[in-house]
Amino acid sequence: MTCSLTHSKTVVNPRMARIHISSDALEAMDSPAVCQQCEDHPCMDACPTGAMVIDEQLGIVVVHPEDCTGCRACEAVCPYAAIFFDPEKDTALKCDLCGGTPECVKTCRLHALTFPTAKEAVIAAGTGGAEDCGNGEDCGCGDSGEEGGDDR
Amino acid sequence: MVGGFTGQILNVDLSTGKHKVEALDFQLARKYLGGRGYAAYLLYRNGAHVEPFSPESVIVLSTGPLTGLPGTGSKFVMVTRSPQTGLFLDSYSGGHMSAEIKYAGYDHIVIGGRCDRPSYLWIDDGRIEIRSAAHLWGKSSYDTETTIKKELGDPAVRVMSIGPGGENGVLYACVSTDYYHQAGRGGMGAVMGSKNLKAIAIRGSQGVKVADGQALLNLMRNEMEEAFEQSEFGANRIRYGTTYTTVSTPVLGIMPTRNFQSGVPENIEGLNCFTMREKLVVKDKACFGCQIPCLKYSVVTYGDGAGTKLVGPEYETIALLGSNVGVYDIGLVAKANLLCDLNGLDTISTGNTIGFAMECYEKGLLTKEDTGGLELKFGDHNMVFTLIDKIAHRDGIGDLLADGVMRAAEKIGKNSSNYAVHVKGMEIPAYDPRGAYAMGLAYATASRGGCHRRAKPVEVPRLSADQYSQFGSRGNATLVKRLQDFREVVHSALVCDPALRFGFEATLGTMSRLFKYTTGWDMSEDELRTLADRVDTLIRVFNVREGFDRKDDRLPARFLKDPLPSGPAKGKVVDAESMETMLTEYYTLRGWDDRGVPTRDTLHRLGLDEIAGDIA
Repeated sequence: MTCSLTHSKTVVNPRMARIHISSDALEAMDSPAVCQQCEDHPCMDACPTGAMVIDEQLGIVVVHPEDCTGCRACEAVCPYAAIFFDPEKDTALKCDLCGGTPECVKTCRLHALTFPTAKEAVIAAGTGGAEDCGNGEDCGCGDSGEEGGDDR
Repeated sequence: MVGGFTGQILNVDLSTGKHKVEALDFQLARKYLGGRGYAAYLLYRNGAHVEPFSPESVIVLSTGPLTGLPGTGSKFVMVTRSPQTGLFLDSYSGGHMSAEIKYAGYDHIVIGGRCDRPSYLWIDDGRIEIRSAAHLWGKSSYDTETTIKKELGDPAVRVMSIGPGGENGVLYACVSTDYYHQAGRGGMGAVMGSKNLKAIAIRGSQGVKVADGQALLNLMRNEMEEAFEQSEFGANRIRYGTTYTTVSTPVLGIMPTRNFQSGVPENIEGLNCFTMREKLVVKDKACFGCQIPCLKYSVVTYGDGAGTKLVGPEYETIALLGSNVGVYDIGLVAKANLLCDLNGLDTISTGNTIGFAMECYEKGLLTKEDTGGLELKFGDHNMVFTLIDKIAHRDGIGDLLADGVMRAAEKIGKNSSNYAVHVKGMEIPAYDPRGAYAMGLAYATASRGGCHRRAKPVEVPRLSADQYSQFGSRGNATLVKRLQDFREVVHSALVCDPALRFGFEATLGTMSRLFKYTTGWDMSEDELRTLADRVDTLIRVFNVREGFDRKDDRLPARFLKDPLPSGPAKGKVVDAESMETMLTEYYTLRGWDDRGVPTRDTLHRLGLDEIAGDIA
C-alpha cells in the first residue's frame, strides 16, 4: 500500500507496488520479492528498447515507462522475480529506493524491512540478516496485497 | 469522487445470472459510511419478513471507506436476515478478501436470487461470471478454496466458501476465507448454501484514491505507533492475540465451563495462552494492512490432535470447544477448531451446542436412544470430533443439534430450555454475565442476539467501581452504549476494532482523522456519535419490524436462576431488578420507548423519518 501510495501520491493499489509478497496461506509461508539492485543488472541488459537506465545519483537501474513496451524480457531474466507490471499501462515497475529513503521501510513497524548503510549491510550479511524480510517471519504489513481476528 | 470509496455497488441476481452496477450514493455514504451502516440501509430496503432461505433474501457483502487502505487491519462484513434468529445479521471476517473487494472496484456487492445448481461467483474486476460448483459440492472449505485457485490459474485470487455445514443448512454454518478466517456467526454459510452458492472468488487490480496520503501515512507511522508503544495491551496483543483473555476470565470466574454450569475452568493450564504459545504457535500472522499480527499459526505435533495446522484457536474457541465441553488440552481444541473450519461451522455455536447436549445427556434428558448409542460425556474429545461431523452432515443426533440450542430444547422438551444458553436463538460466547452484569445488558441488546462483539464490558465495571456496578445496574447502560457506538463507527469504516482498541487505544477522535485523510470529509466526533446512533437505531427498527422488542431482550434462564458455584462471583445470578433497570436506562439513552421501540422524535433527530411508518 505504501509503495503505490507514495509513488502515485493519491492512489492505493498493491498491484502498482514494486514490492510483492506471494504466499502459501495454507502453510503460512510468505515470500516477499523486491529488487536487490544487482550490480550486474541483467534486467537492463535484456531490455531491447533502452527503457531501463542507470540513475546517476543512486547508481541503480530505473525504468523510463514511456520507452517500455511491456515485452517482459526484464521479468524473464530477473533472478529475484522482482519486476512487476502496471496493470493499466502494462509498463515495468521496479523498486527505485524512493530516491534514497525507501518508504516501505518507514511503514514496516516490525522492522522486517530494513535499509542498512553499506557498512551495516556487510556486518549483517555475516549473520545472514541483511535482507531480513527474506523469510517473511514477521512480515504481515500487507504491503503487496499478494499475501494470504475474525468473527469469533 | 470522494476518497476512500470506489463509488460502485455491484448487484448480482443468481436466478437470472445477470448483474448491474449501481453508483454509490455519497449522501447516504455520509449518513451511514460503509460496512455495517450502509449495508444495513441496503438490507432494510430489501423489505420485511423476507425468508432467509428464499430466493428473495439478499446477502450484502460490504467494505467501508477505510478498508484496503493504510491505517489498520481491514475487514469485510456480510449482512442478511439470519436464519438462526430472524434478526438483522452482520458477520465479519479479516484476512485479505476485504481489500480485494475494494480493488475489484466495489464498496458493496448485493447478492440475491438462487442458482439452479451448485455454483460459484467469479468477480474479476468488472468481469462477472457464475461458474459450476458441481465438482466442489460436498468438499471442505479448504479443498474448495484450493481447487478454485487452481482452476482460475492464480494463487492470489481471494476465495470465500462454505463447507458441508452451509450446504446442509446448519443454522450456525459460517463462511471461510483465506482458509483460516471465518465470518462465523448467525448462519451466513447456510444462507449461501440455500442459494446454491458454494463460493465467491474475487480478484481486483484497481486502486482506491485517498484525500491526503501523506497525512494518512504520518498518522499511522507516528501517532498511532506512539499510542501503540504506550498501550497496556499492545505487546500482549501481538504475543498472544485474543488468547490472552484466558488470563482474565478464569480469574473473574466467568469462563464457560461444562455448559456454563461453572465459570471456573478445572484446568486452565491446559488451555491458556502461555501453554498454547509454547506448544503450538509457530508464526505470527496479520490480516491485510495490519501492523499488529495477532493471528497465531499453530501446528499440533502430539496426541490425538497431531497433524493439525491452522490459524488459531482464538479465545472464544478455546473456551467453547475447551472448558465448556470439559476438554483441557489445547492441541485437542485446535483439532476441533480445524474440524469446524473444514466443515464450515461456527466454533462458538458448535461448542455451546455440544456442551448443551452433554449436559442434557448428563441429566437424562437425552438418552442413548436419542443419540444412536453415543455417550455424550463432558471431557470426551473424540465425542466432540464425532459430533462436529454429525452436525455438519445432519447425521443422527447431529440433525437435532444443527438447529442450535433454542430449537433443540424445544424438541427435547422436559425443561431442557433451562440449559439452553442463548439470546434470541444465538448461542452465548465465552463471557458469563453472572460475573459482570453489564455483559448481560450487552448480550440482551446486541442486535444479532447472543454476541460479545458489539460491547464487552467484563472488566471495566470492576476496575472503575466508582462509575459502574459489577453486580448491579449503576452506570452500565452508559458503558454498554458507548462501547457499542464505537463499534458502530469502526464496523462501518470498516476496519478491525480490536486492533484499534487494544493496539492503538483509538478513540472516535482517531477515527475522525482517519476519515479526514481518506475521504476528505470533516466528520466531527459529534457527527460520528450521531452516525453511530443512527446505524444502531436503523437496525433496531429492522428488528422491531420483524416483531422483536423488550420481551425478547432477555437472558437465558441459566444466568437468571442458577447461582455460580465457585470463584469470585460465587452465588451470583443476574437479578431481574438490575436487568430491568439497565434495560430501561439503555432504552432512554438510545431514545427508544419503554418497549424498546425508537420514538418518532428519535427517528426525526437521526434523519430516519422515512421509516417511521414501518413500526407505527
